[in-house]
This record gives sequence, C-alpha cells and structure tokens, in this order.
Amino acid sequence: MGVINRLKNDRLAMVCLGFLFLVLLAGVFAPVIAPHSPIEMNVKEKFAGISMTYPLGTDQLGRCILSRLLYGIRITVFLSLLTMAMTILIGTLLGILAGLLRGKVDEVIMRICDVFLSFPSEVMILAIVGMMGPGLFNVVLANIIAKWAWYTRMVRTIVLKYTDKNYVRFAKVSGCSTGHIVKTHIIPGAAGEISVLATLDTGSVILIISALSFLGLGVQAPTAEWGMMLNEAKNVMIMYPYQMLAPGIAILLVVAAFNFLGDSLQDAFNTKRVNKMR
Amino acid sequence: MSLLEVINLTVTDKRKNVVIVKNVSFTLERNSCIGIVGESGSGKSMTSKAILGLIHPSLKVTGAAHFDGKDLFQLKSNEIRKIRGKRICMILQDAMSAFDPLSTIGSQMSETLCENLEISKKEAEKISIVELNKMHIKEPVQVLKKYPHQLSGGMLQRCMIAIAIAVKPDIIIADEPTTALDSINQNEVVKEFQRLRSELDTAVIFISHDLGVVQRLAQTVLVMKDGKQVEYGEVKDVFSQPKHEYTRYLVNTRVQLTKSFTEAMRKDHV
Amino acid sequence: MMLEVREVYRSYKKTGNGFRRERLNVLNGVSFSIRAGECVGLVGESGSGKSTISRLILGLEKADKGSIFIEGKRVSEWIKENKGQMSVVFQDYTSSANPRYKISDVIGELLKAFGENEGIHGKVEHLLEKVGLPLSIANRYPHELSGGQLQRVCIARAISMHPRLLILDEAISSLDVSIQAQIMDLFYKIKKEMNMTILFIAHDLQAVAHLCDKVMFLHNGQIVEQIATSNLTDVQNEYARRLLYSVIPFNV
Repeated sequence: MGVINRLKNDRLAMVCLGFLFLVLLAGVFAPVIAPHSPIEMNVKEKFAGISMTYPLGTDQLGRCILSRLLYGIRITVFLSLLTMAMTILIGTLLGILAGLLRGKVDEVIMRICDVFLSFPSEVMILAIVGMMGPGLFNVVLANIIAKWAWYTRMVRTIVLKYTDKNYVRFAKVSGCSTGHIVKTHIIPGAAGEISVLATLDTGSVILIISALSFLGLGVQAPTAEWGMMLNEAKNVMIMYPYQMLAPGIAILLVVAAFNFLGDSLQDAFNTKRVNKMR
Repeated sequence: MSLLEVINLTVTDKRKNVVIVKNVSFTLERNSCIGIVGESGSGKSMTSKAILGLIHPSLKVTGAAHFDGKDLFQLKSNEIRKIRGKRICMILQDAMSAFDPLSTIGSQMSETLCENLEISKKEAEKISIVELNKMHIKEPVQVLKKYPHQLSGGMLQRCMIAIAIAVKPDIIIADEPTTALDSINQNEVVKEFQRLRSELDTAVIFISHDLGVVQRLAQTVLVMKDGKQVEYGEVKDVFSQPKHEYTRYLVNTRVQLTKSFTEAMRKDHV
Repeated sequence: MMLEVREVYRSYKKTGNGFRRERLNVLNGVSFSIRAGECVGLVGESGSGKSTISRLILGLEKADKGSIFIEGKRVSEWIKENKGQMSVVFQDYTSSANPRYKISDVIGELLKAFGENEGIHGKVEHLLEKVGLPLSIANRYPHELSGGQLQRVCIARAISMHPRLLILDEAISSLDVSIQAQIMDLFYKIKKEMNMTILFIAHDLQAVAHLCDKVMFLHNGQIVEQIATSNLTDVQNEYARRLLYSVIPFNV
C-alpha cells in the first residue's frame, strides 16, 4: 500500500521506528542484556562513574544505572503502550457505536464524554490516583479513565466523516449490513487516523506515567522506572547532577521518537497533501 | 482597430516544461461576443486568466495581447491592475466563492465601485440599487443587506454581473456563468449579457461548454481541445459546417442529447 | 406500484439564526408514484428539494410527516428484504468509490457482500464491458480514473445486482457535456436492456427529455406538474412552463 511506501521514503520516520523497535527489544531482553540486577545494591560503589562494570555508573544505592534503565523500559514504555491499547479499544468501540447508531445512544455516550472532558486530564489522573492510592494498576486505570472520552469523541467524528461518504451511503441503500459497512469501509478508513493519534499520544502517556512515578504516586521502590529514577536523582542533584542525565535523556528520546513518528504517519496517511507536494 | 487582439498566446509550465495552452489567437471587436468552447482542462479558463495576468508565477506566458495600443503581457503588475477590474472585468462560474462570506453583498458592491469609479460610498450604493433593479432583482435594498449564503446561486451570479455592468468595462470575461444554473436563471443571465452588449458597447468573452448559450450570444467562436485552438470562426459557420472532427463531435453529441426535447417542443409550433 | 410517495413533509433547522428556532421547509407535501418499469424525471431549480426527496427514498433520512412505500412496504423494511434491489448513482463520483479499493473490488462489493463467492471476477468483467470500460481498469484505483470513467464504475456497481429500482441523483451534472452525452447513452442502453424502474433527478430538462417517459416538476416543495415527455408542451403549471420555455435550444 501507498502508506507503507511513503513511510519508507521518510528517513526520519524510519530512524524513529528503528529506534523504538530497538528500545522494545531491549525491554523484552532486559534480563539477558543487563549487566546486573536492577535492584542489586553495592553501597561501596555508590555514585560510581562510567566504568566497564557499570557502563552508565551507579546511583545513590550503588545500583547499576544501565540495568535499571533497561528494566525501566518494561514499566515505562510497555505500560504506556498497554494503556494506549486499552484506551483505543474502548474509544473505538464507543466511538463507532455512537457514530453509527446516532440518536439516543450517541446522545448518552457524548454527554458522558462531555462530563469527563470537562476536567483537565492531569488533575483527574491525580485525583483518581490520590483516591485509589499509588500503584501501577491504578496509574494505568487512571490514564484510561482520563483519556477514553477524548478518543471516543475523535473516533465518533471520524466515523461520522466516513458515514457521509457516498460509498457508505451506497452500501446502506443496497441493504448491506452494518457489520459489512464497518468492516469494509469505516475501520480501514479510520485505522490510519486513529493510529496517528495514538502514536502522537503515546509520548504524552509516557510523560504522565513518568511524572506520576516522579511524584511518588506510581511505581513503588525498588522497582526500576524512569520517572522514579529521576525522582531519586533529584535528591542528590546538586552533588551528582549527571545522575539525572540517563533517565532524563531516555524519556526525552523515546517521547520524541513517538512524536516524530506520529507526524510522519500523519503525512503518510494524508494522501491529498502528499499528492499536492508532488 | 480591434479592441483586443490576442496573437499566439502560449502558456507553459516552467517547472514541468508542459505546454498548457498553445498558440491561441483571436480578435475581439467592440460590441461583440466571442464564445470559447471546450471540455474542462482544455485551457479555456487558463486563456482568460492569462489575458488578465492572473496566473501563477511558475507559468510562463508568451505571445501578445494588444489592448488599447498596449501589450497586456508586457505590462507591469501595477499597470495591469489598473486595467483589470476597471476596463476588463471577470465573472466567475462559482459565484458563491467569488464573494466574501463575512460581509454583505452591499458592502462588497460599493467597495468595488468606490475603488474603480472613484466615487463616494453613497453614490456607490445608489448605483448598486439601480443596477440590481436592471437585473430584475426584486427589493434590491434588501438584497444589499444580505450575506452571500442567504442568496441563491443565480441571484449571486446576477449581483456579480451587476457589479461588472456598473463599472462599465470595455471587456467582460465570463467563465461558465450559466453552468450551475437552472434554465430560468440561465435564460435571465443570457438576456443580461445581450443587454449589456447592446446598451454599453461592451465586448464579451464567454467561456462555456453549453453550445446553445454560445450560439445565442456569440458571433464568433473558438473551439479548444487539449490546450490547442481547434477551430475559430463565425458561430453560424462553425456550428453548421464544422471543419474539425472534434467540433463535429461536440455538435453531434449536443444535437443527439437535445433531440427528444427539441422535437417535443416543436409540436407547439405545428 | 413500484414507488409511492404520499404527502411527504421535511424541514431542516436553519443555521446561523442565533436563538431563534426557525425551520426551513424543504418539502411541503410531496406526492407522486412510479409504476414498475417506468423511467421518470424529476426536475426543479437547485435548492428545490430534489436531493431531499432522493435521500428520503433511499432511506438515508426520515420524513417529518407522510410516508414512502416501495412495492407497498416501508423503505427500511423493503431494503432489508430486497438486498441490492435499490441502487443509486450520485452526483459526486469522487466520494462514490472507496479510495482504498481497486476498481474490481468497488464493482464487486455487492456481489461479494451478498454471498456470491465464485465467478465474481467474470461478472465484474462482464459489468465493465457493459458500461464500456476496458478490462485493464479492474486493477487500478479510483483516483487514477477520469470523472467519466469513475461515473461508469459507479454505474457498473449500481447495476451489479440487477436492481429493480435505480435512482440517478444528478448523476450527470458534474460531468463535461460530451461525457454527459456518453453517460446518457449508457443510461439509455441500461433502460432498454435491463427493464428497471428509474428515477432520474436532474436540473437539465433536455437530458430528462432524452431519457425519461415522464417528467415531474418540483417547485416550492411540491410536485406542481407531471407530464409525459412526449407532450411537454401541454404543461399547465406556470412554473413548469417558464422552466420549459427558458431552455436555450441549440439549432443547427
């Protein structure tokens, strides 16, 4: 398909894609690659610099920063992806339901969305985590609750756009089932736009999860997580400022990669604009 | 001397080196009308835009267009701006997009008139009302207060023609002004063009693919295909004895399409 | 009776009127009926409600008042029971074919959706031939075709299930005149060969006279006149008369 070809010609997109792929691989194979256990302490060697045994040095408890970084992928990146997947699933289902059935169903779903959308998502996440207590599961849940309404709305708009197309009208007039219309016309059309949104948003979910851990509301010690690592490094920021570099740069790179990839996807899916540029 | 003489007008896309319009030549006398006929993409609109200097800078125009002793293609942009809108007016097919949706018809009319006729706003309003009246628009004062979306396509088209008439240009270029209209509005618009010519001595370049309308309005016709001038001559000669195959094809399809209607209507006269 | 429209009313909310709830009445009690096998034209100026009527018949919208019956049944019910038996060709051919699918899939959509698994390829080729398109087009995508070709594809898809009722909603209005003539010829051929009921919605009276047996004039949301195209000059209604006599003929 044209989209893949266009993406292949986009060097930045390919670099980002490759980088993210490597990050995911590193996360999966963390136990194999990591030189140490992420929670193994070696107090004698605390705040060690870069060396052969500790490629990125050690933290205030003498734990290997590289190992913690690698294990952190499992929490930070994987959890963000899981959160996104769940959010999109809920949003797509409800969005298609609202957009196709219209009428009362649409009305009810949209009003509930309005309620959820009337709170700033960061405040809502903080409130939910605050109420339910810190913890990984609660962070994911809070993220989904804060975001599903937004996705439902977006998907509904996309669905409405497609139901207005003559080819969908034609299928309706001919008596094709709703299932057929959703399967052949709406999902393939909407998938592109949803994937763009999701990619762009994964970056922000990573930021939120890290932020919550940074505030001590997410992952609990001693589990390795990037936001948490930043939090620990913050305590010794004046004495050992480079402690913040590793997790900070890791977050920056991954979030940037997701954003660039989202931008490129947007260009790739937007056939009209590409044709015009030619 | 002719009012406008276009010699070997050629438009080339500089970036792709593609010729869009090739060697189009025609002359236009005072109080006459030339019809330009052809399919979309045949270069009809491009020809008229080139004459007004309204085309994209990436396109190169060669040839000459003598108007009032000057070659329009050699003029500087501020000189051609003086001619455009005042001495040569253009009427577009899509009347809806030719008006600014955010201001009223009246303010847009008087703005154009003030600019081109150098008169006050009050005078411009008076002229607007007079011209709209001439266009058989009922309650022109009300129409002037309305926004473009509140009027029908035919109505907007007539407002646009009214502006053109008020400016009293030497040449009016009309790009498919009747295509989107139903027969009643079409007829009204055609009548306005006829009146325009007879009363103001204005010459008209009428671009259309409706051969019936061209036949009624124009004295000479230029047939275009793929950017080339296929046939050029008196309307009656071209349509009754087309020399080029393409013209013959156009005439034949038109005759075929309207045969049943013409026959049904002919009964009336028997 | 193939199609029966009884006293149908439809109004829309007016936009941009602030707090006032004004409604724009588009249809004010439209009634007409079409017998099976008839080919009827519907004309009227733009904004007279032609497209609204078509959307109501197609079951894409509901009437405020009044009812529409196809073969004695309500539209939505009839569509469910007679899959692929009502078809439509729209004015805007650019959005009529899903840009993601090849032409062969576009034309074969209904065949596939309604359970035919074998012989689709042959049928699509037969349809392409019927609408005068080269077979090589089957593997191309919609954006690679010209307007005339794309409209032919839409027509091929519309007749793929051999429908009993075909609605042509300004199907030629966006095409060039010479292409219009070709498409009209195609409609003429379809009408002759396939024996279906056709509702031809257009603003071009000459095209309507070319194709249809009967013509209906829509004005101010009502059918003001119905007449056989062979007796056009007998029209009584003032508006219909004006519409007829305003047509600028082309004489050779």
